[in-house]
Amino acid sequence: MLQPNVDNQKISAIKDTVKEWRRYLHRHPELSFHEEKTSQFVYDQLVSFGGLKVTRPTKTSVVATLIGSQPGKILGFRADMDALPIHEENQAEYVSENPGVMHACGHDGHTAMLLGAAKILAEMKDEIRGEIRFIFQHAEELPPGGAQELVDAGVVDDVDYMIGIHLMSLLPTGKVGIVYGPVTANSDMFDLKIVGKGGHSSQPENSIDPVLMAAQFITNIQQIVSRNLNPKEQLVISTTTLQAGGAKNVIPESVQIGGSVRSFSPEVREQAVSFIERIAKGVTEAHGGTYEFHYQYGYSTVFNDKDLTKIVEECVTEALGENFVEYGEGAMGGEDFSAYLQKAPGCFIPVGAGNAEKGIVYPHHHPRFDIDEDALEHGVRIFVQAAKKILG
Amino acid sequence: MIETITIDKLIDSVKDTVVEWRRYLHQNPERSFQEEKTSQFVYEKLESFGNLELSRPTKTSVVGRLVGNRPGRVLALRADMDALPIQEENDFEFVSQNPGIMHACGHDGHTAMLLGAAKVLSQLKDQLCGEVRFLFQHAEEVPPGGAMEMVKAGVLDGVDQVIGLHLASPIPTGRIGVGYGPVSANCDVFTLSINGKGGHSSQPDTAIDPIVISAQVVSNLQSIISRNIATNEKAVVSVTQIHGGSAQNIIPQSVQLNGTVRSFNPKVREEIPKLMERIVKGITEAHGATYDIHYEFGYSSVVNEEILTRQMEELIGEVLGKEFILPLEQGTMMGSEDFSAFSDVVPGCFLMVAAGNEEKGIIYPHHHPKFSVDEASLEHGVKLLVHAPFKLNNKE
Repeated sequence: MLQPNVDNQKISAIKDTVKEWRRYLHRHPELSFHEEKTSQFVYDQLVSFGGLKVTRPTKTSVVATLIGSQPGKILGFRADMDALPIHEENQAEYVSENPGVMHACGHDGHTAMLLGAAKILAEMKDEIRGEIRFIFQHAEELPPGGAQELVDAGVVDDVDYMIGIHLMSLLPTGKVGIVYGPVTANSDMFDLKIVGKGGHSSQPENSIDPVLMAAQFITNIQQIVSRNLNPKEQLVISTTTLQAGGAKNVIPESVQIGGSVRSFSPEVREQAVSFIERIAKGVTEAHGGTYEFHYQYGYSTVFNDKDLTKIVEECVTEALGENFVEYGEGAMGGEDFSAYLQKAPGCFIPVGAGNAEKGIVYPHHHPRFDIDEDALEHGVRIFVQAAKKILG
Repeated sequence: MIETITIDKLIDSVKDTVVEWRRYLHQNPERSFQEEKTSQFVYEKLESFGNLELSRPTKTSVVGRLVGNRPGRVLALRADMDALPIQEENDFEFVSQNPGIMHACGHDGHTAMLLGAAKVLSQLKDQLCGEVRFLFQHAEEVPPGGAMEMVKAGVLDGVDQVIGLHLASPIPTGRIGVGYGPVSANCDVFTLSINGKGGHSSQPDTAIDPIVISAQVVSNLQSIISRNIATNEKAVVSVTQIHGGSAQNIIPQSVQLNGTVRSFNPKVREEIPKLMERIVKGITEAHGATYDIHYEFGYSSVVNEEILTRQMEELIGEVLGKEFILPLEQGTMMGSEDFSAFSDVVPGCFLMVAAGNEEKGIIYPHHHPKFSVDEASLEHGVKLLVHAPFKLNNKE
């Protein structure tokens, strides 16, 4: 039987190492699907811990398996490792050494925390009933994403529970978000080509004006959210790119429209697709044009399992204290942690890492984004406590 | 050849009578298709002139034929006789005695002028070539209009040319507006129902909102003129009525949109309803709604035939003076007129007789409760009508 409380000595001993790892990773960010040095670093560390079976299911991902002393459930922990194509504007001594590439979403911290947890848990093998799978995932930032590749490689086929942590700069350090139900959104994109008939701007009657049709399309799709959607549901449709024309006196042949569609429920997601296309069809037919519609399903909603989230909530209180839990609602961001949830129930945990006093106030994906390193310990403690509670 | 002096003496003698007739008609206006007393008055006057062969092609229209003693062409002269459902707000002594009905478009004057011309010409039978046919038409103001009924009754049989006059209050007395080609618009009307699915305003997801779809339809219809019709064509699409809903918290089942479409070119006229329906179909389908559209072709554009119009322009110069000629650009008058029912069959010319007078306070537009005509203009019309057959009917 495991002790209910985390071993403070073990955590304290590794705290500074986790921070160092995070700083190393922050200095050496790599873009999605190109996490070669990062994954090698992770691989080397995991091997050095001993007691773990370390594999590379894809070129830049690493999975470490910890087999407990007795049989039991299989618990998957996930950290993502990729950075973003952003040029860092921070002044910290650990600033990115790769121009134009930056850890601006906290994945450096995610990786460091999970390494820390792996090191501690590797030493507690005898107390584990079952198995822990430490999943160091590549390419979270770039659809179709690394998670699906790892799922396809069978990494979570037999996993019973999945847990992932995301550091949040807009949540203060000392708070951990507990969300029941949807945490992130279905995050899809569409491309629509509206095809008219080009011509001279002085003779609109000989043309079919695709710019006008595009304007009507954009106006008309506003009705999907305002009129077609059940008010209690959430859906965001944004037309984010619009390109047409090469000369001011030429009616172009076609207009290219791009947009993003965010939703939580699978039903709303499907409704949005069919409503968008129905409007594209109707508006273009109304003016004698045609269209080509391409819908890309992106990351699905991360949906937190109720029972597992209840356990995680208890872990947070046990490992960190009474005042850490901050109940939250889903936000419209996208996360490929959802790919694992096709195989097992999961819980995705936002961990507060913002600190106004330290100037850590910038949002994710900002060139001055940073995390409060004091939050790293919280993440490590949650992983360790979850392992003890679920596999103890 | 008859002397102009003789004609002018006859016109002079009828001048005051024409004003009296106009005032009588103004006092006793009757609505379209109900011109019973008016047509009886006209019939009796014509009968009193002698030499005229009278008929009533429809219940409230009158035709008088004056066959000259010399061979020649047949010229039809047309006046409309109906009034409008307007409560008159003038305060002169011959104000309408029929509440809610008013001669607010000058038809009283048209009828009086043509009666005056008939009286003069009936005394000139010996000098007249061919035939003059006086068409006193009912129901110009209400489509499908009286002109079409008269044409169907055969009033144009044997007619070579047709002339019509319209008094115009916006132009000061002393001018005659002459336009070549189209002078009034094709005027068509539509009624459109956007059928959604009613429901509670708190649950738009269970309804199909016809109000929002109607708004999109109205916006989309604007591109017909701006994008689909050639810039050198003149056309107007107006949505003039929107009716939908009965309570603040109910999404209605349907919305009614009505409007008019004006055009000159017959091809444009044919094209617009097709474009309209394409838009309505596309937009309603875009939002899962349906529609019913009813499109009614109204009066056609009055097209002034070139040779006849040139002769009439010359006549204005000869009879009234060159300073009277007021060239009208195409599209000056986007209104509509069922004179086209006649001029579509035989070459026609429709002229605007200026009848405005600021000093007399005659400044209100047609169909206004204070509309009136400057009676001095009536003589100008009578002169043109009387002289026209002498210029046009002689085949040599």
